Amino acid sequence: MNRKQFIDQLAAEPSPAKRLSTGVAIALWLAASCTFVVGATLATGDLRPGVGEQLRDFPRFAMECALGLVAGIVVFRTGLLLSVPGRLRWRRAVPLALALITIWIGAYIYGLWSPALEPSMVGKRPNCFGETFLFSSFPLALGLLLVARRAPLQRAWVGALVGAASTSLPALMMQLACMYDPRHILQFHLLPVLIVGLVGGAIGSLVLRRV
Amino acid sequence: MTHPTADSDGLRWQQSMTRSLLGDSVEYHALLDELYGVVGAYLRRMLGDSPFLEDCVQECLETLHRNRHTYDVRRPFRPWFLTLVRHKAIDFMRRDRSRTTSPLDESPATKAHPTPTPEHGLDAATLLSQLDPMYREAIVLTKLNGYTTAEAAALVGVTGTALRTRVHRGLRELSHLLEQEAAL
Repeated sequence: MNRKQFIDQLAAEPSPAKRLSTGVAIALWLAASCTFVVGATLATGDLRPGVGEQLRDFPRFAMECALGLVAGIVVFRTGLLLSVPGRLRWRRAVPLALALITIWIGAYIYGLWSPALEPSMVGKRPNCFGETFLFSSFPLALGLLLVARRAPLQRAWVGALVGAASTSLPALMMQLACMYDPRHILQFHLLPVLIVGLVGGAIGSLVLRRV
Repeated sequence: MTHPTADSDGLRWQQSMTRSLLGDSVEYHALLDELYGVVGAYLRRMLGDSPFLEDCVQECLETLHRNRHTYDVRRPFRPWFLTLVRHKAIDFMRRDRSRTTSPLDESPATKAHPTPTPEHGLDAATLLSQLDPMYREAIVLTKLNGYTTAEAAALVGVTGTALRTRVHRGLRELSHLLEQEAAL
């Protein structure tokens, strides 16, 4: 096809639908995912007894939870922005997002020696590991749908970031609903974040369209 | 520092793209026409006078067109545009080998008397010339001159695996060079 024909053909196509802005996409993902995760958690059991008081009286515990929420949002935002060509520098953005997750996990590793709350079996959920995986499915599907509407060039990384962010929400919810013991948290609530991150990377490279 | 002309071009493209996304097809036509030349010059600098340059230009513009909804009109146009072009160019180079080694393209004469120097057809100022000579040689032989991995490995005197590694690393280095260039 010669140059003129080619350009005529492209220019003749109608304007595309407007995309969701990053802020709206994050708000949509967060609102829908939190509704799903909170609803699913409460539908399968109660919150840990006394968790409200723990959040109020133990600032370090509250900070651990806040850190998890911030990490989840920042990691998802990074995945979303990485799906816009030229918007973020991969080499700066991804390590920063991963650093936040690492700091969050690091807070619980530190907790092995100096826990934010007295470790206890109170509120233990028998299936918290499986539930964390299960409850991440909706945020993951919605997140992938939102990035798929854009143009992710590093599909595996975008999928991995969306996967990790999606699991951070149920993991965070388990901090409020399941027993508090840093060893248990690392093994049963935070390990799924890493696993779904890897799975998300594989899904991303398979299902996200090649730009 | 960004060149003033590049700055003004970027701003003009940004305004033009904004109007195009609002449905101004005349503006979009003019923008595509201008970008066609820009992409062509950019790829020529990167690939030299490849016989597939025109295909690559059209593929880049088609990608840009297909993904135009991802452009945020409040942000500069150049980084978005160059990232897509760079991505497609690297992608094109990766796939190029299958085209250059198509049996229909290979006459016995060209096979028997391959291009004398690997750098044939390349300007010294191209980005390829900035690569490590070892990587450049591997890329030029396989991607531009159309040798198979085995043939190129025999010419260079290394194993096929080593040559593939050089091509892979060379493309990665090329991608970094293009990123640095896009940041200018």
